[in-house]
Amino acid sequence: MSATLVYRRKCAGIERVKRRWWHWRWSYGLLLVLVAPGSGIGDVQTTTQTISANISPYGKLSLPASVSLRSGDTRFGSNFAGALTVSYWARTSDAGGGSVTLQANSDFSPSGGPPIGGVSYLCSGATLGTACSGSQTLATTTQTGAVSLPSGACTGGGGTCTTQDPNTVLLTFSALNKPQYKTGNYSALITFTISTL
Amino acid sequence: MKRNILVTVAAAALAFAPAAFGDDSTVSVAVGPEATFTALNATTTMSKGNTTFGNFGGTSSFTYKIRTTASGGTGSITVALTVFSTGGPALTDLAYTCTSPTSGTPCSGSTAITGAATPTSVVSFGEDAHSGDSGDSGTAVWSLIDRPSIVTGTYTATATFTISAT
Repeated sequence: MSATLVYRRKCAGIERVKRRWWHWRWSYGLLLVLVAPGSGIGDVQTTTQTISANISPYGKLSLPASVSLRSGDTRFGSNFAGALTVSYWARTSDAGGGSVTLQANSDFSPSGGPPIGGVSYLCSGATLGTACSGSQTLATTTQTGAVSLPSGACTGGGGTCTTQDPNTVLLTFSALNKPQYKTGNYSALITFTISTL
Repeated sequence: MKRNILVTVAAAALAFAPAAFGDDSTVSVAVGPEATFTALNATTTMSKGNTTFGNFGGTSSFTYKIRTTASGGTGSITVALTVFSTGGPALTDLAYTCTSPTSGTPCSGSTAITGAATPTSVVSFGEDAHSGDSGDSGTAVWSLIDRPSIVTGTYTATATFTISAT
């Protein structure tokens, strides 16, 4: 064999090695590409939406089902008296306010007892707003005040709102104990209303 | 090709409520029988208008408030006496008549005291009795026999009035 032929055979061999190498490189590289996870590859799209809430003034009440007025003795020595705690939640606007009021739906039933207009009450201890001042008299034709709520008021949570949740106010009722009233039990429905602006 | 979409929430806590909210409560009054009595004079002085052994006389005045049960109720004002101090008249020589407004029925005629601490009726009340709101007035008019055997002097007895109502 001539030297040229040997050289040509060597070059061919080298070429074959080269080709095999590139072939291996492309094959496994492609395999790597095909089997590798898609990390770092994909589309991310962010879309934002604006959701708005209009927080309105709000009020809510909770009351005992009844309050009973009783005499402190049997010698006409005291008026009929009883107390009731009103629980309330309120939120008023910065330019608004509100109130808690009450009104008798009717006179006492049955007849023969004290008149509803003979029942007075005092307000005390309001934990939000201002309790009514002085003696108030129940009426069937008008609402009478219990609490006056300021602007920017809110119940619970602390900070600019009250720490108490709910807020409360104590109403102490009284009626004269007159001999003319017939013995018996008399009742009337009282409607409490909370208004907020 | 995957697409991941992220939505960003800007706010929450939405609340709408009415501007007024109402709730009811029942107020009740329990009216029961009651009574109270007030003596207008702490001492009733017995006197006489002559010196010929006519009876001694005196008036105990009082006011009262009363309310008896509308159905089946009753009430009363009674008086009971202690004996006179030593050497004084006998209780059995003492009697009284009564007056009262229409809220009650005064004792009928003259009521003699039969013994110490024995209550006797001054005014009686039936069911659904009501005095005036500022009270009603009544009297017990006393009469005491003036016996020559009684030594001169001042003698006292205690009259206890009791009012009750059911």
